[in-house]
Amino acid sequence: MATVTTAPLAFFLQELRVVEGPSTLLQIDQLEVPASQVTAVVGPNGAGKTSLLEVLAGLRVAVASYFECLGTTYAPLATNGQRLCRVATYVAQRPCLFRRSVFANAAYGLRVRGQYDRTRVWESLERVGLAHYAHRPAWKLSGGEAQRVAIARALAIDPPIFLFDEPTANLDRDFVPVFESLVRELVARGRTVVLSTHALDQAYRLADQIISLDGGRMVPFPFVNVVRGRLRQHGEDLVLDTGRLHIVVPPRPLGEGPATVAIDPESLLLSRQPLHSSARNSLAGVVTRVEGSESGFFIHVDCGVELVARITARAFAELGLAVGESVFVTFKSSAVHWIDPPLDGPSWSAGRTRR
Amino acid sequence: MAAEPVASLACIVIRTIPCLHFGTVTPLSEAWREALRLLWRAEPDVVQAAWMSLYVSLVATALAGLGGIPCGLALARYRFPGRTLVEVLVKTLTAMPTVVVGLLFYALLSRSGPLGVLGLLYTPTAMILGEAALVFPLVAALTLSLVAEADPRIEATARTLGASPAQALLTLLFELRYGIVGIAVTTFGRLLSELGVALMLGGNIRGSTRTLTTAIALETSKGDFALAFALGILLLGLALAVNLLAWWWSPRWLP
Repeated sequence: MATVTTAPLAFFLQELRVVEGPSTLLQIDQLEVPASQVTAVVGPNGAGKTSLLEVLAGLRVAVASYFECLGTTYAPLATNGQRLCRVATYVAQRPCLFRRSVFANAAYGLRVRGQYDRTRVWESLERVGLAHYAHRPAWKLSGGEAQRVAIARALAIDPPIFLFDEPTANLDRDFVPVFESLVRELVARGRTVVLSTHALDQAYRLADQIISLDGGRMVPFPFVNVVRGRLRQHGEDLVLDTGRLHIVVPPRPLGEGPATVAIDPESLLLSRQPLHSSARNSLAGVVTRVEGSESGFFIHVDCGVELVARITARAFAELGLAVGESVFVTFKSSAVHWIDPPLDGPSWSAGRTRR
Repeated sequence: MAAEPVASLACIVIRTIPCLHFGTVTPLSEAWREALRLLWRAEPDVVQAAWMSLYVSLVATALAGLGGIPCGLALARYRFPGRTLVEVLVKTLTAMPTVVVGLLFYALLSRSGPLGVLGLLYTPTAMILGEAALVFPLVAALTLSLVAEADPRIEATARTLGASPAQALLTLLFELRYGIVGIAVTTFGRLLSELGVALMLGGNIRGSTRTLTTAIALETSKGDFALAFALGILLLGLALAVNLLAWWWSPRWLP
């Protein structure tokens, strides 16, 4: 037998399809989630983040030509959800707490497995800072506290894989750093963490790998810079026309027609003055939002289509950008990546169909 | 005009009052006093009838729950051919007249019936079987509605925390426990006040199968209003006690 030299994978799946009624929620050709690492799933609402996590948790009916989890194949997926549930646990964005005490909620997973252990339940509640709430009825908690109980419930059973859906969306601001250190701790103990998030800075801060979803498909870069439009030949350049702006894109044999591209936020240059450079695209815009921390800043710029640039904290300090100020966004055509086949509808269309 | 029904109602009341006061039967006002005295003395016949009512209703509720809850759960959770038909049938049967159930079981259990050899007719067991069959569709239909309305995340949450499908279903039922107690109380109340099946399958035998309702029917036809009222008060009192128990146990601070 050949020795396995590749890094172990928590999940490896091919040709995954999730269909609900007439619409396809997810369509992924190949997905690899490395074990003992943090993988972030990012994408706009309705991109399929929750569906993907539910599939990985074994809670959603899906079709996949190949599905492997921690070296074990699960095929067909439809009849193996139950086994998957024992390996991975899923913490929903709006968790459903049982009508019992906080403690009984945290103890549930161990009880049904016949591995009840008082100290483990207490430890997990202490970890999320809710030990003093242990004997309160769970349905009296606030949204953030409920989320923490759900996290404690998962910690108590300590499975090899944790799946968190928008874990920090409802959490109190104070608890977000606690949660992030918790995730690092889990990974250090060899657990695999997959989390979906809206906050790109969180994804970059926590994750070893980022999976970007849009319209149920994997896109090469974080969803923020997905631009839809029509391709036109403009002189010597191939141009993506969104109706509001033209983006010079790398040559492509297919020619004119609808197209979708993604632009790596790391390769966008920001400047106060127009740059005279070899870069083919230079767009004027206005800063609409600034988010981030020491690990990097995301500057949202409205150039007709919103583009997001990721810059370092130092660059941010030097530029001194604030919301409402005008700025120039410059990038090479090679920073533009094709998304094939093109996603539904042009980016300026209000009635974009997702579901 | 609305005056017509009002007038006819008034007419009935006016005609009834002299009948109650000056007829051969006990006057209503005296009946009340007599009823309270009978209750206070705890007449053996009254106690026996109350006990039989409670016993038959409780056991029949338990039996109907054992059959009806899984049935309603299955109807709410599983898709199978003919499911809609079964659902409509079950919901229709909740309106089944009690005398029809009585008739069916009478035909089954009477000496010449297919189960006649068991000699069950006019026994408490026959009453329990008939009453359980009567409310089985009710329990199934109410459970179906309860489970259909339940949070679909309950089972998914249980499963992702490691519960087997059976454990997840039990967790679902446990989460719905207050609703299930409500169903049990409704069912119990219906059986406590049921007459047709109790009369046809029990036979109203004194000291054996006489229940509060069959006794009330008998005493009323005999003209003994006092005893009939006493039994009626007792019946309502039992229903009140059961409802108070359920209320005390269920959360009063529902969100």
